[in-house]
Parts: sequence; C-alpha cells; structure tokens
Amino acid sequence: MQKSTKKNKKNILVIDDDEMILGVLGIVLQEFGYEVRLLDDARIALDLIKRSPPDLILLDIIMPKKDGTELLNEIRKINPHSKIPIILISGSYKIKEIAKEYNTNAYLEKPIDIDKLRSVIENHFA
Amino acid sequence: MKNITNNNSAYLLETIFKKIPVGITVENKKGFITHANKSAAEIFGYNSEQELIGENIKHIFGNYKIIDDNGIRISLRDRPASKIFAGLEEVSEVLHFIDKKNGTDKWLLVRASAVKISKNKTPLAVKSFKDITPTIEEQKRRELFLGVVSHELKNPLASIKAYTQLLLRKEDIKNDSNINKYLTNIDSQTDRLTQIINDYLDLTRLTNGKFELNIRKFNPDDTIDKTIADFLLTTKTHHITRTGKIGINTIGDEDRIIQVIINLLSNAVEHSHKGNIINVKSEKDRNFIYISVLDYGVGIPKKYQNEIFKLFRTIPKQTGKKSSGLGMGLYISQAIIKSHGGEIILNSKVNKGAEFIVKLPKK
Repeated sequence: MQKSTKKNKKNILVIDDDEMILGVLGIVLQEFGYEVRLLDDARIALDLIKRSPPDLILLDIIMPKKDGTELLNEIRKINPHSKIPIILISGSYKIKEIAKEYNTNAYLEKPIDIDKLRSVIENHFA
Repeated sequence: MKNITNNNSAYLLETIFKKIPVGITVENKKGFITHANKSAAEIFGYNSEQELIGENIKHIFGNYKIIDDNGIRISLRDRPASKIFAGLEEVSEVLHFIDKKNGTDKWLLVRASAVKISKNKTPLAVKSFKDITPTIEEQKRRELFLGVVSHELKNPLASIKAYTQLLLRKEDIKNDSNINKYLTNIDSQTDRLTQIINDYLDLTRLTNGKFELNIRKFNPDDTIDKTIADFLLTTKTHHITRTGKIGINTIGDEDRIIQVIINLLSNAVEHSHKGNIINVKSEKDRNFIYISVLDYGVGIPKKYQNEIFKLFRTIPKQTGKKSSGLGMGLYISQAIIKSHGGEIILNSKVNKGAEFIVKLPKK
C-alpha cells in the first residue's frame, strides 16, 4: 500500500506493518502540515528512499515480513552520514536498547502521544 | 576393617563420578585431560570416556566456536580452566558452544575449581559441564513471546489513542464539554491500559529472572530534567518544581531510573489535587545520591506505608476511587532501585502529602 499527498512541505515517510497505524499517522502528520508517504512493506522501502528521499522517516522496528532493524542498517548504508533523521516507533520494550545500539536520533513508544510526536518531529526540523 | 571402609568409599565416589549426569573432566596445567566421565564424553561427542582421557583441550576447544554470556567469542586463555591455572580458585560461567562441523549448538554451565593434590605442585582444574540448553531456549521463547504480545497489544491501543487525540483537537469537539470529557476519559483509560501492559511485562521479566540492567554512565541531574520535561508533555494538570543538584555522574540503568521517576510522578499526580505543586529534589551526601518526589496531596496513612510497596497493593486515590493501576508500579520501582543497591524511602503524613526518596549508592 502506497499513498502520497501533494504539498510543498517537509516530506515524511512512515513504515509500519499495521494499516490502522499507518492510516491514523497519515492523518495526524497531514494535520501537522507535512507531506506524508505511507508504506506497510519494508522490502520496497529502500528503493523508495533511494529514488525519492524523504525528509524524515518514522520506522516501526518490529515488522514480520522484513525486520525493521535490518532496514535500519540498510538505510544507514545508503545514507551514511545519517542525513535523513530516523525516528523509531514500536510497541516493544526493546526499543530503547535498539535505539541506543543503532545510535538513532529518537524513538517513540506505542501508543504514541500526538503532542510528543509533534514535538519530536519539530525538534528534528528545527 | 578400615581398608574395607576406605575401599567402599573410594568405590562409592568412583561410581558417583562415573554415573553423575553432569560432565566432569580433570585437566592438568599442560592442557591434558587426566580424568573424564561418561557424561563428559557424551557432551563433547566422544564414544567413551577412555577416548577423552589423554586428549589435549586445544583439540577439543578447536571443534567449537565458544561464546560467553555477553556474546563475545572466547579464546583458549579465557576458558574457566585457564583462569584456574592463572590463580583463581573457582570460576562459573554459562557458555554457548557451537559445533564448527555441523552448526549444532548447546548451552553449558561450566564450573572449574582448583584442586591441589600435593602442596608444591600446580593444581589440577576440575571442570563440570551441565547442559542447560532447554532452560536457555525456554527463556528465549519467553522473550520472543513477550515481544510479540507487547507488539500485538500496543498497535490497537496506539490507533485508539491517536484517533481519540485527533478528535480532541477538533474545534467543535473542544467546544462540547460532554464529548470532550468522554474522549478525555477514553484517552486516559488507554494510558492506563498501556501502563498495565508495561507493568505486566516488567513483572513477567522480573519473575523470570530476566530483569537485566543496562549499566552505563549518566548524569542524574540531566536525567531528572529531561524526565520532567517529557512528563509535562503529556501531563498538564500539575506544576512540577525542581530543586537541588547532585552535580556528579553516576552509573546505572538510566532508562530504568527514568521509569522509577515517572512512576513516582504519576503517583504524585494521582494522589494530589489538580493545580497542585509537585517538587522534584536532588542532592547527595558522602555515600549516596538522592532523588525525591514530593507532593502536597492526601498523604499515606502509616499503616499502609509498607504495604504500598507490595505487589498488587493500592490505596484509595484522592478522589476516593480505587487507584488506577494494578498496584505493580511501586513494587517494580523498588525492585529496580534495589537492584542498583539502593532503596526507596517514604515520608508521609495524612493530608500533608508524601515524599518518595530514591536513595542510590554513589558510584
């Protein structure tokens, strides 16, 4: 499933295997004024990131078809200076360890509080 | 008579050595196996103990890739027996043995002890090997299960919370006080459910003995400040003031300490009136650092002050309704602080408020 909206604003890519989460995050981020792309399959994410790099990525770290940590490593390879900020989201308690291990910019635990989400994203774009 | 008794003892010990379902070998300083039992032969893939006796451990070691508890591959010198020859009396470790030939693996609890046969000679290393693979695999299964359950429960909750918050931001809903109130209740019940799930997961890990601390250096003052800032993003009903300073770094599991502070702040919010002040204070003395959370709420009667740290114990909220958690928060917080070598102390007077002090040894 891929959706995109056309606006001349910062572009956020959301990768999560749960369609409901994608749906609601899509609405929330649009309300915040961002252009949003939603992906429920990490396997096509790399290709998309190479072709059309987003300004920020929200990545669910535990996904059945392709593990989020694998994807994180691969994104790091094509994006070595971590120019695209990656925010990890997850329901797993392991997320803190994973975030530290991968030295990623931030993480948010599910259920995500909208105000927290907004503030974390704004801090990255500040 | 004495001879017969000695022979009987010797025979008994020899039989125990032969039959015990734990692999035992004895190694000399040159690395040769001088004694071995049947279980040891089985563990290391030898047809009999006779084949194992006389082998050099370099040869046996070379058949495996051996990894320690921290995931680091060990060399010959890192073996428990090598540590015995380096001077230690006893070494006990869980090691992961991966067979280089066929890729099969097992987890062994390895214990090595020094045994001095005669005063001047170097000791022998007696090693025991217990196969604990089923236990380790069960632990890993449980970890996986916890991870999956956590993920599956949190996704629907995340959707509910996000949609509720989206609704709460809409003008016409903000203006309708009833709808606003009902949605706010749904939102806070979602938080409550999340907290219960998190507490339950912690509790399960605590009882499985899998409560690991991620020990790192951190600055407690910075930790407190960012925890308060984060807490205020989602809790707007109380003022939080900050006093004191610790001024030094310490070591511990920073995320777990944050969990404790959040637990204390949540309790303070729950047990004091809206608009009240909650004070977070930090200080140190010669041996300890202190982080305390003080509220001016209903306080805790003396008879409950020890009770509330127990599992599933709650006391009535300030509104008189039952406390919203399952009563696991303080139990888990106390477990976290105790595993750091510290404790949580409570000072409280009814209707005056409560102060929970986290006392941690200086490190």
